Order: sequence, then C-alpha cells, then structure tokens
Amino acid sequence: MEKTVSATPRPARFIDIHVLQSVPFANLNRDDTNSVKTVQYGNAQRTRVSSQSWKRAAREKFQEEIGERALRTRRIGERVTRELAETRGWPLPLAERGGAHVAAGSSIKFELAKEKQKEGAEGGAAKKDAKVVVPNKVFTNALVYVPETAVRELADIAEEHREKLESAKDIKKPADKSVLPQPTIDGVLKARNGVINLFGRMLAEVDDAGVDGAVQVAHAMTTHETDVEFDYFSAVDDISQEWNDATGSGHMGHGQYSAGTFYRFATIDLEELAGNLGDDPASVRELTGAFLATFVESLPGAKKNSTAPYTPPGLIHLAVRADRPLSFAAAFEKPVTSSRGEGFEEPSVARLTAYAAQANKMLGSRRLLASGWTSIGHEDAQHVGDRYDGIEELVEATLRGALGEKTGEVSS
Amino acid sequence: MTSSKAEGRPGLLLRLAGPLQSWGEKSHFTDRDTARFPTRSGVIGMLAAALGRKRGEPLDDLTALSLTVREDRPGVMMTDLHTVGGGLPNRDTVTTAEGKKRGGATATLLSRRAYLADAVFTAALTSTPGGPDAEALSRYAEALREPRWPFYLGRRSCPPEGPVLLAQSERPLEELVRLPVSAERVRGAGPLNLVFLSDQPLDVLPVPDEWASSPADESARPTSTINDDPRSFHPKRRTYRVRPLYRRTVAVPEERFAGLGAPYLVVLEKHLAEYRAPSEEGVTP
Repeated sequence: MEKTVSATPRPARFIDIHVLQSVPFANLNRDDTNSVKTVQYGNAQRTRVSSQSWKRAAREKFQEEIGERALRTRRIGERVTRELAETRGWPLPLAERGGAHVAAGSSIKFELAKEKQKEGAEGGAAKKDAKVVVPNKVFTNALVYVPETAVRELADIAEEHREKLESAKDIKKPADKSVLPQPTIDGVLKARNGVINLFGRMLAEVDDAGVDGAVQVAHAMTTHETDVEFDYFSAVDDISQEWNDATGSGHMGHGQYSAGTFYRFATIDLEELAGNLGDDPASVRELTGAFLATFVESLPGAKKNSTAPYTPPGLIHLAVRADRPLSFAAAFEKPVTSSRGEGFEEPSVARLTAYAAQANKMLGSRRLLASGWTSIGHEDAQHVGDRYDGIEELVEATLRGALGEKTGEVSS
Repeated sequence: MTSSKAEGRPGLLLRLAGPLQSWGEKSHFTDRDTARFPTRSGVIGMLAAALGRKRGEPLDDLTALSLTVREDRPGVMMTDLHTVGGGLPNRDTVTTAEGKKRGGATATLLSRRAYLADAVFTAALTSTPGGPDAEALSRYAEALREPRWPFYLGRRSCPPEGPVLLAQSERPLEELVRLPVSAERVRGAGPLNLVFLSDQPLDVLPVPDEWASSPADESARPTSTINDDPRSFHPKRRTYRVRPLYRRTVAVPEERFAGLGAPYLVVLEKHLAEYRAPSEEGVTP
C-alpha cells in the first residue's frame, strides 16, 4: 500500500535511541539481595537494568561532556557568604548577613543552624549540651538545585543592595524578613542549566521552579531468556598459606551475575526541551547531541571492579520522528533464541530491523523524518535508515535531520 | 448480538502494551503499587497528556468517556527496589517532611515500586450520553497519533510498544470484542477465556451468540469498586472518586490469537484495513 507523502514539511518532535548491546558476565544493577534484576517478558525471564540506574550513569557522563555542574544544597546562603567574603572582599560579618538575607529572601522556608553553647558564655549557668541559634547561618527547608553560576548571581543581588544590608538586622529566627527582593532571588533559584533542562527538577516550594524532564528512558532488558548465575568464590588467607599450618579458605561467598544482549530505548522530546530552554536553538542542538552520545556510551557501575563489563554497543539506531516516540521492545517479546550457535546479538539485529520495518509501515513512514545506524560487525542492517561509520557521524546526521539543517539540498 | 444498548456510542480503540506497566492505585510515599489492569485515571491521564493539557486543567470532557479493557495477557507482578540518596554526601540526600536531612544510617531511602510485567491490554474509550461527539473524538484520535508529551503506561519508565491508537470507531465495544488478541496460542487448544473490565455494566458488551461468555445479568452488576476515577490532576489537589468495576469473561476463539511482536502487527494491520475499508473517509485523517 502506497503512503501519501505529506505536502507540508513536518517538524521533528522526537529522537528515538535504540541500542543493542552485548554485556558479558556482569551484574550492572542489583536488587536488595545483590541479585541481578530480572523481568518476565514474553513468558521468559530476562535480565533487566532499571531506567533509573542507566539514567544516572548517563547523567554523570552527560555532566562531564557539557562541562556544567549543578548544585543541590540547603546551604546556598553559606555558599553566597563565602563568595562575598573570599571573592569580593566583604568584611566577614557583613558577608554572613548578606548570605543569610539571600537564603531567607527566597520563598522557601528556612531554619537556622544551632550549635552547643560555648563554655564561659554570658549568663554562666547555661545547661550542659544546650544549643543556641547561630545567627545568619540559614538552611533552606528544601534542597535547591541550581546551576553553579547561581552563586555569583545571588552574590550580585547582595552587592546591589549592600547599603541596605549594612543597616539591616541579622537573621536570627525563621520569622525574620530579608531586606532583599524575593522575586529576584526566586528568579535565580528558578534558573536552569543543561542537566536540569534535559533531565528535569522537582522543587515544589518555589512557584514554577519544577521542570519536566525532556528525556524518557525505558528499563533495559535482554532480548532473550537469561538465568541468573551463582558464582562461588573463596579467598586465600595469606598467613595460613605462608605458614602452611591450616587448611581451608579465609572467606567463602557467592556473587550473582548474568550475561546477555540488551535492548535499550530512550527518547528525547525536542519540543519540551526547546520549551525548557526558551528560544535557544544552539543549546537544543548541544544538549541533544550530548545526550545521544552519552546515553549510548554510558554503562551502570554495579560490580564493575569484579567484572569490567565495558563493551561498546553492537548496533545503534537513531530515528527522528514527527509523530510520537516508538519503542521496538515488542521485537523481542518472543524471546530470541540461538539455535544455530550464532549468539544472541546477530538474531537480535535481524529481529529489530524486521520489527522496525513492520511498525513504520503500519504507522506510516512519512512520520519518520530521518533515521540511521552504526554498528560493529553487522554489515546489512536494513529498514533502519542510512549507515554511518561511527557514533559521531550518526549523531551529527541525526541532529541535521532533526533540526532541519539539510546540507546540499534545499527543503521545499 | 446480545444487546443493542451500546449502539450509537462512538469511541476510540487503544492498545496498552509494553514490557512494563504500572497503574498506581493506592501508592503511598515510598510504596508505589500497581493495579492489575490500566486504571481510569491512568488512561484518561494519558489522553490528557497527549492533548497537551497541563496538570490542573479541566478534564470534564475526558471523564465523560467510559473505559472498557480487554486483558489480552494479564501479566505478572514485579517489584523493583529503588534507592534514593545512597552513596551521596549527607547534604545531597533526601530531605524529610520536616525539612531535616536524613542522617547516616537512614540516608538511603528505599522505595518499592510495583510493575505489571508482560501484560497487554486492548481498550475502548466510549462516549457516554452527553459526552464527547465524533468531532471531539477525532481531535483525541489526532492527539493520540501525535501526542504533545510522550506516552507512558502509568509511569515514565514504561513507554508503550507498537501502536497506541488502533482506530476511531462507531461501534467500539463490538470492535473490542473482535480485535486480534495480542497473545500466543497453541494450535488446537480451543477458545480461551479473556476478561473484560469496565466502569459500565457489561451486559451491553456485544458478544457473538456462538461464543461462550459469563451471563449478561451477572455482568450487569459490579463485582467490586476501585478508587481511580480522576476529578483533577492538579499537583496539589489531585482527587479521585470511587467507581464500580464490572467484569465479564468471554471465550474468544483461538484463531483470534495473533501472536507476539512483528507477526501480531501484520495480523492487526490486516484486520484494521478490512475494518476501515467501508468507511474510509470517516476514520482515517
């Protein structure tokens, strides 16, 4: 059946990432009994890595890649105090008052640090272990999660109101009012950086500070049935061995592992990311590219020292879609088998591409704006778009397809 | 047909399938449960998200839809242990309700999250008297084809597989009974009982006369209740109402079982093409 081609070019909405990755004897993500996480799918037990686990691995790599850090803290006031005193040369008492007014000036409620009363303090007869409030040492009741640059911006607010702060009172109780403007401070706390714009943030206390994440990551699972293997081990006692006066081991135990070919899926919501970023196409491009690359290359770290499971993916397929994200998990609902001894990755690639062809046919391939793949050892992956030599080329071509930067042709 | 009461109620047919689903019903802090089937709040929430409705926006038109679910594969329960704050310095861990930090030994927060694994459901969203008309349903269908926010089956880590919107239909319940079943069958095994669950009496379910099913009068009475009827998804005023749960078992002939994965999609596409053929204009965009 011939699909009609849409007359108007459709905007790219989602970039889907499909990865097939064989991981040797390992336990990337364990449960509360140190066992491998599993899931039943297609009546067969599979090895599973939770989306949370893989997302954290990807996020850490992503932060490294874009070279931006975010601060998650209740002690933002103290951090501003340090900025004022050490970087800007404010006298310490004023810097402390400045930091306190910054922290107390947001719409997040706060409390003050307490410490044990010093001996010989005024009044003399203080009870042992009695605690007194430390003026100007303010903790916000919720963690703020801000770009590291927020510290400088908050210090700028204090700087601007320095005269007011010089005549202001210290913050000594949670009811004390800041002399600094709340909307300006909240404005800084609402600021986002790349990590927050892409992965989202929960901050209920400041209005409109919550950010819905623009990436969705599925649990990864093997394309085939797996068993959890118990690896028995013993540890030699070096002294017993040297003196040869005792038999038996110093320690015995077992670890749980499995091996298999994983199907991993994630999607980026380009519209949501653009909305989170405001009008900033360059950042959309940078963050999307960084996420694609780091999600593909990341690996959760449980038991990594005892297994070193650092495999690259066997097949990476990226698809730019105009309609909706499309997971190919169902390609593996019937578990892949390895009847001819060819392993699991080879038949998994065949399954994925066959399913992609069927799914795109059914939903209409005009909604697929660009697609491509790169691979190690699979020469003829059909139905998953153009072949690229490496991840960088694949990501670059996908970004061009998604962001409408056609090279060598004029789009109508 | 056993009944004609359901005639004249157009609707949408959906497929809710994926390796994992989680339809929270009575989740409480760190214990996140799942019902054994898609909840009204979950499915209506998914439609609201497809339409781009923000949390707290009116839902009246969507809550006027009736939900009937067919359990193609009921799936199995799975619990995932999720840790928050482990291995981080104290200041980076979770804040308690009093605004304090969790100290030392209690810094890691354990959360148990229940999932329904290996389940597939086919569902009908049917208009009720005074509910959305054909034009509104067309808008919902378009949103389900091109949703504003990505779909998820109750929880963000659970994306659906395959098509979500199967069709816009003049006779959604009749179609729900007849759609290919997303499950494998051994040849010669005979009809298999499928459970239908609904917020409406199921005596209106048009089961072909030659198929065995639980008696119509029994399925006209609710078997239990469930607190999943959404009134508002406002983040600070999220409210649900209790609604009745009706149940009916229908013995579906084995030739309707179309397998898993790509082979299922082939059968499904063929079925939908035949079904669409007579009223092409009214159904496809």
